[in-house]
Amino acid sequence: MLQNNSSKKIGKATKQFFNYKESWRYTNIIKLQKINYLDEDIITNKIKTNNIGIDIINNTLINNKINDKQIFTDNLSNAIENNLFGCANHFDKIIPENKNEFILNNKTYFKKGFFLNLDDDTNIKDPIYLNNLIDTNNLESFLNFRYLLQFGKNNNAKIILKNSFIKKLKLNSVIEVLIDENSTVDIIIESESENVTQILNFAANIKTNAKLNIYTINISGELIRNNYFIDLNNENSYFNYYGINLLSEKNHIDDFVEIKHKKNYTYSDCIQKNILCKNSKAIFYNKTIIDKNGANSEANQSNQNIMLSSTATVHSNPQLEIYNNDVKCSHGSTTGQLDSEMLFYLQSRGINLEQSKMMLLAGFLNEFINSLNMKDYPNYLMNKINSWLNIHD
Amino acid sequence: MLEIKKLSVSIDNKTILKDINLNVKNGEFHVIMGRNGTGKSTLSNVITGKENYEIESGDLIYNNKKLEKLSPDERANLGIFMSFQYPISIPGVNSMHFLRTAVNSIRKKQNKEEYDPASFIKIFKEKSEIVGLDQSFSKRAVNDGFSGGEKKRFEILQMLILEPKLIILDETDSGLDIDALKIVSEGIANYRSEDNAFILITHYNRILKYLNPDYVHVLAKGKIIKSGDISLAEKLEEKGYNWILEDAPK
Repeated sequence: MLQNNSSKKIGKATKQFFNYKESWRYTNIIKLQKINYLDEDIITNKIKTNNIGIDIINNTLINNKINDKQIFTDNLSNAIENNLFGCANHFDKIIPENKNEFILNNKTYFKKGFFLNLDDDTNIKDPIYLNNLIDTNNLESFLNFRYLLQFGKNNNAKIILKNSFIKKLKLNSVIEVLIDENSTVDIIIESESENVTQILNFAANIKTNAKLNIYTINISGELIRNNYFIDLNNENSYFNYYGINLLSEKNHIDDFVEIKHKKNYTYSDCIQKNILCKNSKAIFYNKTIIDKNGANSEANQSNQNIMLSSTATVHSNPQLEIYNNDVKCSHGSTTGQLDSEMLFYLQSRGINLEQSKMMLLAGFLNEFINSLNMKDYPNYLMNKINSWLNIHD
Repeated sequence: MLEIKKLSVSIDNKTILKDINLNVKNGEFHVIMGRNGTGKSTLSNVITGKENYEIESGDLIYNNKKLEKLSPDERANLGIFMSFQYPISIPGVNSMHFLRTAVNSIRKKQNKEEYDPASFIKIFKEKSEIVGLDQSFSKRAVNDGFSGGEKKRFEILQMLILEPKLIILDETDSGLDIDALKIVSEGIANYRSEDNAFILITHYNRILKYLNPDYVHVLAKGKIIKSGDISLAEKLEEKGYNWILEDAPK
């Protein structure tokens, strides 16, 4: 049902409507536009996982090891066909199609996809792990992954979407999230690979009194472009974005976050921290718009970059557009080397230079780790970060 | 312990210290006073090993070892400690983790047994009580959100845990209220022994009443222009610096 043979035409025909100029200024979209799309699912049965949670291989549900009736998972294509939990009403309605052709092509080419539904009043203490193992033999074309995550009313849940790449490949993902009233959901998106080309388009519909906290971790990446499109259309809705990127070699990570406050009493926070080595490049473009109907809203933007090399590059653009006088907003951006006064302080206490640097870098990321507010996973992540820092600082 | 011989120091080609001589022996307590901008903090930074200071001439010798080429951590490992005038906040770095890393780095270099987590917590708790810091400090980031007084107490706590031999106190008394001054001074006084030595930089006489120093030196325009005992500090408080500057050799 989701196949469309004229997909390439859709892509080309609508290209002219996309306003690329500003938001794609530092990432070569033409190079990405030349990449073909894989038209088939490749399941590699060789891949095994012992992780707890839900196993997905190439975006296809393999195994739901969570024994909880309130948590439902299925292939997205199947869920839409049977309109499970009303998902057909939300599929492709949350993500704004006119933003870029990668969204359109994803809709055309994705196969099974992944669907998750949490019933009303679901309260889960432990995070739900979505272990996505990704593999293909076709390294030149985009794999197309699609997620629809639905959270009912009065939910309290944490999701960890962990992308593990087997090879140097190309990935085009779309994630749509629905969060119903009075729910708080944390979604952690973790991705690690030196050689991956990845485009993510993410959008959420956050209802009244609901809160979405996004945490993103990108450890390396040949070319990564993350787009977050958030419309705060309901009173007392919250969107918090907190991202960290660790870049080295010629890594290129471009984060674009667009938040629109369209109603009174809406709140957003957007923080991006980057550590850059060698010839890497990080781009942070956060555009937060407070509509004239967005009175009593709050929006904060912050971008902090630590440069460990004189040849790394950062483009930082925390941008606010405010059309209402009764709001509270802040934005800031800092880029620099490790603070020499801090290093001297630590060294004067007997800690050698290398260890002092490590301590400051870990401290820079600690706020992120602490804000995850959960068991086990922060330790796992900190170990991962420390391994990276040990090699790259 | 510390011998400073004809030391001249510059920063950005501007000479700050000129021909300084100072000899600090075990068990001694020296005080350096002087107007703002006379080079007091430069002297403490140079001893501790802060970069960007250029030693134009002279020697800096600690226990028969030349300090000039040693990094700040190498000096700390030899037992040199400075209590900072303005301790810097380091967000994200936990105070307890920082102190444990520091003390174990020093102990390892000094061939002493490193503290395991349990024994460190015990020491941290015991020493925190001496300087009047509560246990919540163990969860906070280094100097982050600390009041001026808390920062100074934390500096003294570090001194008590790291157990240095040569201690430089750079205006440790500034920003302390009367009660805190008493607690911090007592912490310093109790740590003082025949095995260590102190150099205190201060503007005020009040802390000296608790510490009973052996020598008071006056620094002006990068030179030590007068040395004496505590009575010199008392006279300075009474008369200010003008009389001493007029008498000083040009």
